Amino acid sequence: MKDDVLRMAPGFGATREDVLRAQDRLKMRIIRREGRWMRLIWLLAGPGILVMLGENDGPSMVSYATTGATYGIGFFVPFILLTFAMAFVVQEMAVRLGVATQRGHAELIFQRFGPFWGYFAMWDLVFGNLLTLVTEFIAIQAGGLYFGFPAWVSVGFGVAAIILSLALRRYATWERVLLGLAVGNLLFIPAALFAHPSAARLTHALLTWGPLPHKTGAAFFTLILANIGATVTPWMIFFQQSAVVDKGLTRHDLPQGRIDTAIGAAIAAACGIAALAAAAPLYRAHIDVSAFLSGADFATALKPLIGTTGASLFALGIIEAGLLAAMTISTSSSYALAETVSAKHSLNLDFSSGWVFYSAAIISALLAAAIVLIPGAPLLAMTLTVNVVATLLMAPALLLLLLLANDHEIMGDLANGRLANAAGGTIVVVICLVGTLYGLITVFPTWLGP
Amino acid sequence: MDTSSHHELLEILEEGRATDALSKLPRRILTRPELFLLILLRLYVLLAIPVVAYAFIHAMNVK
Repeated sequence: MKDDVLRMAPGFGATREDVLRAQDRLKMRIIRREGRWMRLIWLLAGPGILVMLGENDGPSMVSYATTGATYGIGFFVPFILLTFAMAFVVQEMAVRLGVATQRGHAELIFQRFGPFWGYFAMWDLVFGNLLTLVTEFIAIQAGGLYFGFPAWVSVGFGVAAIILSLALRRYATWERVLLGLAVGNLLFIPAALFAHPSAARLTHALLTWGPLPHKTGAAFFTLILANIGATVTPWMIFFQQSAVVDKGLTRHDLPQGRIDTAIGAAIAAACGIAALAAAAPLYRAHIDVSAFLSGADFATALKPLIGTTGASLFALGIIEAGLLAAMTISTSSSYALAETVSAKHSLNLDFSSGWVFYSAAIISALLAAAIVLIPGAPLLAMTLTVNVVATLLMAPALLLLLLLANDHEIMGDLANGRLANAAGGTIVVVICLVGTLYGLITVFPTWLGP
Repeated sequence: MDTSSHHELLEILEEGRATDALSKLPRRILTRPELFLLILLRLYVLLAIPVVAYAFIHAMNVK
């Protein structure tokens, strides 16, 4: 069927990309008609799960582990759930924008708000993504070092995986391969089980938000901000909206798009809490983790506490987290760059017609990998700065998202209602305050105490 | 592939092309509050850039 239709495409005036997307839509239409709802959810799932598990990246898992090692099981367990609820509210708007306008996020900003905001949104994303990619390769490298692989092998493997995934030249295949990889995020759950977390403590924490942290101050607020930064970031909006369009989701598919995002948020929250619980024995053993730089440091420190298997699962999880994030984040740079310069943008493109799109991901991956391998490169400075960049730049991204979701001209009946605006508005205000607070803590580190 | 599926595929291809025909959206006409918000956002961005630069330089000195 595929070859038959592809041969027909040029005569019909359609490109290979058009035909592949039309085939995907036809498949959904037939399954919808047959009333096979579970099959429909399975086929339409993807962007939401990938974006949520992609954001459970190397630095995010390290943030959760740091939280568990510093405060144990308590306040931060329900807090992680809350941040993923916030992420769901934000990403649901991106899904609606995608199905309503059939355009990517960067494209919409450029067209509706003009070149200043268009280029700003694109460059801020590409720059932020490049820094984030560096941290993902650091995670892959650190995880590899735990298993005895030299840095160049792990980083080279990461770059090769990104390039090979793009070489699939088919959105649906790319998505399924990444979903397979995303299963690796669940490794944190068995790692947590090796830490024997108390079910009673977990339940108590979920129900009462306690015990509250015994010490607050700059370190506590930095962890709060790091946990928010670990769940709500600009690349997620750009990626999911573009992926929804690339996958061919229409207005009819919105309920499944929401289910996909909710499932992704639930799984990602469970994995985040698992990373926290896996590192909680470090808290009980009074081990200072403030000097820990990567997931590998946690795995090494956890070995005598949760055993070799548990620690290895943790290190493997960190490698997977870095790899999946590197693949999704580099793709979000591709979408944003190609949409802004009006180049073709789809994972269904072949290399000749999609060279701008593919080059953006490949060049950013190569650049990030090269930075990680340069001896003496300021990797720690980049890791610390990436959080500041992500948190500060989230406010403009969210505000533009909210304005677009309220744009009745392009959204029609899918524009934000009162409830969505109340939830979205609250999140924008919270993130703006958090960004300002983060900025103040950065410039005046002793402002809130040690 | 049967004939009805073939027709349906062509129909979807046509719909896809109709969407492409809408490719350029007009610039949004902003209300005063929206314009004010975007001006505030520009100020925020102007303040955020030096904070990012400071954070990086500060982080370079972290041992």
